[in-house]
Amino acid sequence: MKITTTIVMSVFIVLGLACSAFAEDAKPYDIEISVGGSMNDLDGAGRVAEYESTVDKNANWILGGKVSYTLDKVAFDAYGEYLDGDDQAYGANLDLDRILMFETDYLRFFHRLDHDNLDHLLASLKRSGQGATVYHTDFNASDNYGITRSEWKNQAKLNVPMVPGLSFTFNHRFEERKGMDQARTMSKCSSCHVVGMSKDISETTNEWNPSVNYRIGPISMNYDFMYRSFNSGSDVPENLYMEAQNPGKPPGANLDFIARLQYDYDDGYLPYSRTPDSEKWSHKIKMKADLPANNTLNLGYVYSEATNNNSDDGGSALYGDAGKELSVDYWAINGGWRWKINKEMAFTLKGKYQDMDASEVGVDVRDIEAVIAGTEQTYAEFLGEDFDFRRHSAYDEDEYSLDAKFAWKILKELKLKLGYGLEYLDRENAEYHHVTDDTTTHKFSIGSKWRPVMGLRVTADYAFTYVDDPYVFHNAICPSWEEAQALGFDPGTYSTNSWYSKYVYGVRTMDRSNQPETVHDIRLKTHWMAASNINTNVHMHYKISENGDVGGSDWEQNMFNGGLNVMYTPITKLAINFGYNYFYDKYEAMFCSAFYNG
Amino acid sequence: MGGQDDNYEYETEAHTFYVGANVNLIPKRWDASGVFSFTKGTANIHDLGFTSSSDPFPLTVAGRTDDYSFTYINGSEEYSDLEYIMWELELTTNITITDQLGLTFTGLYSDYNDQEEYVYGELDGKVFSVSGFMTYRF
Repeated sequence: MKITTTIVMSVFIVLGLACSAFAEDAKPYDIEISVGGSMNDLDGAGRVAEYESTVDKNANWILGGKVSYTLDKVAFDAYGEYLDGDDQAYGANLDLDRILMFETDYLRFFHRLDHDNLDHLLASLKRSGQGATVYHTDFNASDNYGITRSEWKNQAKLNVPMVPGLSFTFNHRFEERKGMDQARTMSKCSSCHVVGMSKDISETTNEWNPSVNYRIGPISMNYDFMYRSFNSGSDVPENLYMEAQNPGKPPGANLDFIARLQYDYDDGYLPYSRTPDSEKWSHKIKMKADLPANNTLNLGYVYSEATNNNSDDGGSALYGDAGKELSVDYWAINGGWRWKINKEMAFTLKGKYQDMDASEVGVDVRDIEAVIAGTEQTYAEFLGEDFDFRRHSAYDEDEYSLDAKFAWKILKELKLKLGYGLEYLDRENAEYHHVTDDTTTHKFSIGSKWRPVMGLRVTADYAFTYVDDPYVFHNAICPSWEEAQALGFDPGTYSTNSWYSKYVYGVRTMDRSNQPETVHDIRLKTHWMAASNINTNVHMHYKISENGDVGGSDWEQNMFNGGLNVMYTPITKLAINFGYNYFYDKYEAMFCSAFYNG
Repeated sequence: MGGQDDNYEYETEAHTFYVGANVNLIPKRWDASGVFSFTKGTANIHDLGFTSSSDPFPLTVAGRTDDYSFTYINGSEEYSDLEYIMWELELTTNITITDQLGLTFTGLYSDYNDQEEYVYGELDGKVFSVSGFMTYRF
C-alpha cells in the first residue's frame, strides 16, 4: 500500500505542477495548495482521541491541495491531504465527454482500541483474603492497541457511444488493516484462568466488481459480478495452557483429571485467535420494466458463495479436523410491482424468497490418549464412543417475505401510508441447535405526512409487529432448587466427578429469548420554520418490545430517542445552532448465570 | 457448580448537547466559527447480586479453602457500571488576505472524564491542539 500511496501522491504533485505552468494564462485550471502545521498535547488515555493519530505527536505538518481542469469535453479534478502517515486522504475524478468516467479515492486513518486489563474477572469469584478463584494474566499489560485502516476505492464507467443505453462499470476496493490488537483466551478447561496477549494485525480485503447495464425502451437490465478475497497475515498467538486441575482434590493431585481434557499443558503451545482467509463470489441480475398505465415491474436474482479457505488445513488438539473447506451458498429471487393508480394513489407490492445453505461436515476430534487413573482405558473407551460429531450449520434456512404498501394523498396537505409485511423463516437445522423451527412475522404500519400550516411539516409513523414463535433457545434456564429436586437431583446425587452435560446443561429447563413477540414502534418528526430566521426540528422515537412466551418471566425492552435542533440567524453575518438529544434504553430479562467449579 | 436465575434491568442513558455559531466578521475576508459539544453516558445493571442460598448446587470440597459458592460473587454490580462525560470545544477562523492567499487557524480542546472505571481501566484523557495553515490559490 506504500507503493499505492506514493503513486497517488506523485500523480497529484505532477498534475499540480503541470497545471500551475499553464495557470497564468488558462482560466480552466484552478489550483490550491495548503501548507501549515499543528501543535498537540495528549494527556492520559487515548479514548478522548479515538480516531486522531496526530495528537500523539508534539507537532505535525498539514499539507493539502486541490487541482481542477475543465476544457471542452474533458473535466478533471484531484485533491489531497496529508497530516501524518496514519492520516491521509487523496482522490481524483476524470470525465471524458461523459463517455468514460473514472473516480478514485484513498483514505487512511488510525483507530485507537481499548486494552482489557482483565481485572473485571475479579467480579466472578472473589473471596476476602483469598483473592479471586477466576484468575487472569495480561501478558502485555503496557501495550497500546490500535489499527490503521486504509481503503482505496476506484470506479470506472464506460457509456458505449455506438450502442445507446449500454454501459459498463467497474468497481474496485482494496482495504488494509494493520496494527496491534488484544487476543484473549481461556487458559484452562473452563473459565478459571483468562489470559490476554498482543497480536499483530495485518489483513487485506480485495474486491473486484464489474457490471453491465443495458436499457432498451422501457426495459433496463443489469448484471453485476463481485469477487472478494480476505487474507490475514496477522500473527497467530500461542498459549501454553495450564495443567489440569481437579477441583475436587488438593492442588497437585491432578493426574486422574487429564484423561477428561481435550488438551492441556502437555500439548505445548497451541494457537488461538486465528482469523481464516475467505473468499466470496456473487452474481446479481436485475430487470426493471416501465409498463403502460403507470405500472413498474422489478425482478431480481442473486447467487453468492462464501468460503472459509482455512477450514481444511488439518486438525489440532483445539479444533478437530473438518477435512474440507466450509462454504455458505445463498440465492434469492425478488420481484416488485408499483402501480400509480392516479395522481393521489399508489400501490406497491414486493416479494422475496431466499435460501441459505452451509456445508454440513463431520468433524474428527483428536482422540484423548491419557487413560483414566487406575485403569487402562481412555475416556472414549470407557464411554464406548468417540467425540467426533457432525456439524449442522445454523445458517441453513429458507425465508419468504411479502410487503404491500398503499399511499394516498387525501388532501393537498395530507398524505397517508398503509403497509403490511409478512415474513416466514424456516430454520432447517433448528433441532440440532435447540432453537425455534420456524418463525412468522406480521408487520402492520400506518404513517402520515401533514403540512397543517405554512412552514410546519409533521411526519408521524406507527408500526405494530407480531411474531409467531420468535427465535428462542430451548432449555436455557438453570433450574431452581425445587425444580432440581423435582428432576431427581439433590446433593446426594451430585459429586465432584459429576458431568457438566448432566448436571449443568442437562437440568436446564424452559425457553429464553431476547427476540420480541410484539413490537410497538412510534416515530414523530416535525420541521417548523417559526420565522424566516428560525428553523427548528424535533424528532422522537419510542419502541417497546415484549415477549411473554418464554419460560420463567417476560422479556421486555423500552427504547426512547428524542431531540431538538434549532438554527437561528439573527443577522445575516451571524448563524447560531444548538441541539439536544436524549437516548434511553431499558432492557429487562431473566439472566441465567452458570458457574462451574473447575 | 450451578447457576442462578433472576430478573435484571440493564439501563442505558445518553445526553448529548451542542451549540455552535458562525460569524462573518468581514464579508468575504474574515469568518469565524465555534462548536461546543457535551455528552454524558451511563449504563448499569440493577440489582445484580448472588446469594449462597440461591445456588442449587453448592460445592464444598474437603481439604480446600477456596470452595465455590455464590457467596463470593461480589463484584458483578460494581463492574457492570459505566459512566463518562466527554466535552469538546473547537474554534476556527478563516482569513482571506488576498484573492490568492488565505490563512486558517483552529484550536481544539477535548476532555474525556471516566467516572466509573469499566473493563478497560481508567480512561481519563485530554487533548489540546492548535493548528494553522496557509492556502495559496493559483
